[in-house]
Amino acid sequence: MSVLLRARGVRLAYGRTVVLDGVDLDVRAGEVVALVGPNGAGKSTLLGVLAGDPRPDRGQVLLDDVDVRRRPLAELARRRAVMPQEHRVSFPFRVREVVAMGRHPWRGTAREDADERVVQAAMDDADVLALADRTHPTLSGGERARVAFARALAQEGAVLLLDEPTAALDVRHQEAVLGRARAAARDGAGVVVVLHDLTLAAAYADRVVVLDHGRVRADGPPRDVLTAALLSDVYRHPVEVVERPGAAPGSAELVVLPVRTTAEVPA
Amino acid sequence: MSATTTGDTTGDVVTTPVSAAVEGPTAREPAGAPRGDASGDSTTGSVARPARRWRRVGLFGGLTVALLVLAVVAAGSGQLHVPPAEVVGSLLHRLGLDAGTVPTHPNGDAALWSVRFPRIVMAVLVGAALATGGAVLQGVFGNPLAEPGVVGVSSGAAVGACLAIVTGWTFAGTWTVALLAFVGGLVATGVVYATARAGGRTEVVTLVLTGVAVNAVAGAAVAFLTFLGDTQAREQIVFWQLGSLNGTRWVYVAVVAPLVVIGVAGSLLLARRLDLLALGERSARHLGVDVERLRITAVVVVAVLTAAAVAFCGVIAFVGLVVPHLVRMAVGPGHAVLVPASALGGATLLLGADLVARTAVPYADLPIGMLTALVGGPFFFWLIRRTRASAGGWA
Repeated sequence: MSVLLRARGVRLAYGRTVVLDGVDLDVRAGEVVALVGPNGAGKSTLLGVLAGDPRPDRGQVLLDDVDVRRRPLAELARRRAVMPQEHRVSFPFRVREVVAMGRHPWRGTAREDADERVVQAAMDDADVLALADRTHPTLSGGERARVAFARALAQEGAVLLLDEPTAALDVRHQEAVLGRARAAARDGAGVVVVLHDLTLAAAYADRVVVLDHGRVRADGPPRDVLTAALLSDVYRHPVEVVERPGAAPGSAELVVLPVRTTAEVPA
Repeated sequence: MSATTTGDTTGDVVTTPVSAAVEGPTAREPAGAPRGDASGDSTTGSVARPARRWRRVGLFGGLTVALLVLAVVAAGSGQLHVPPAEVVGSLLHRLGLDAGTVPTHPNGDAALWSVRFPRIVMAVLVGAALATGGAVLQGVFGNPLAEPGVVGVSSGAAVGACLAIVTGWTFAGTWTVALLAFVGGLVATGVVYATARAGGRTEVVTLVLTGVAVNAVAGAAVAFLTFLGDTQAREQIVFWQLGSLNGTRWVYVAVVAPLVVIGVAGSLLLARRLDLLALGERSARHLGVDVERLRITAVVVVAVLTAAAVAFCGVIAFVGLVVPHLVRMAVGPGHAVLVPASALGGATLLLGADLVARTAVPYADLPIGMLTALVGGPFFFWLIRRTRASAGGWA
């Protein structure tokens, strides 16, 4: 598959704190890449650099072989969509209006005609149709996250960058959101998703990239990357990786669990 | 570390048939929400529902009718009473239409055309400028409390205007006051903008405190200029500071009108991008908005509008706060509707306020700035209480 997004030697420091240090990353059309790692590993920063937000001190990010920082913003917006970690909206816009904002890049193009259909479908996919006429400040955290997801979907980018899309979601919506991200990849999009839940990453990602202290510690299929040894080291906490019991043979699913001592859990 | 899998590690916890939940969202009732047919609708694509659309039509229609009626009534009111029919007749005759009755009073026509009409037009222009400026400023700061008066833009413009009054500069003819007011307003907006924003958002406290600081500095500058000025300039400054449309002449209207037209037109062009700015700077950027350019343009637009309002009529506070807020409550926060509706609402409000200022006390012309503050101040209190209590707050 063709490489949509290519990061090469990305280094970024805030003052003397090096947040990203020599990161290489390829995102191909049709794959879901999970970015995992402990807090402060540089996941969100990397996602921001991939989106073209902060200029890396060294290295570059190429989208369709062109530096993202050199592409006109409007054109970039038609190519990649970003779901941020924070979902604040300054005024009481209705959910439908917020999702429709995702269509802004297509204004004045032929695809503008599809606006209503795309918005409707995006809201359906993110399960926010029932909230369509609610105003944003009245939503719960999880609902806001789903609205932001719907907005990113409505943008119809070939590259989808999702920053912890499942953090505030219940189990049903976690599965639904990542399932939808997979579907986008199946339709040819390149998806990068920051995740904390390693079991989710194992289930939905084609590749898992483990970041630690701003460096890529591992990059590969979940089964190769998500090992007890590596994860225990990166997270500085003992981690077990087991096969899901009762799973159908051949459809082996990994389950990543932190090891708990009896002192830490209720008896 | 991953904190999602709770329970023990012996295994049975993960055998829960989570996969069943995957089907959940697909089995929803088909497209429940009724759709607005709003093709060509302006705010956010075709998303308006019919109810809101009718409210929109009602708001614009109602405000237009109110504005026209108020204009005719205001033109006829005062020490020299002119019946509405004669006001309309006088207008039609000037337009070359031989219809209606001209004012019967010998000075009627002169009073209308040299005193009342310019004042009415000025009220409409200044009201539109103030309310539009407020709406845009609120959009830029992502904060419903941003208002040229509260934030200090008006007092910045006031410093410029006072400078023109005291020095008697006329290097730009009748435009001098407006020009200096524009520069003052621009500087103040720039200062507020540079200090009050952090990470693309402006916290209420920071914004209000910045306003306090800017107002204090500007107040000191105006005080100093008042001190410097001669008796005549002082008197002029004092009355001008109270805010008044008294003594409006067509030459002033000729200065203010193009500024307001430019300002409102510019605001309309910014409207859709201001909507996106509500998502925060980063998200707006991700949607293709050049945020930096948008903000600079918006700041200039606000300075133009504020300068237009302040130059000849002084500081008239709270119009920019009250009007956009009421409009938002009626038809929602989309700027493509908010901006023109605020312009219309501001014009109507200020025309009404000026009518009260002229006629409430016989033979006295109350300062309109005092009136708007009298109404706007308590409204501000109410807004603070209401917003604090409601979900979401100001964020």
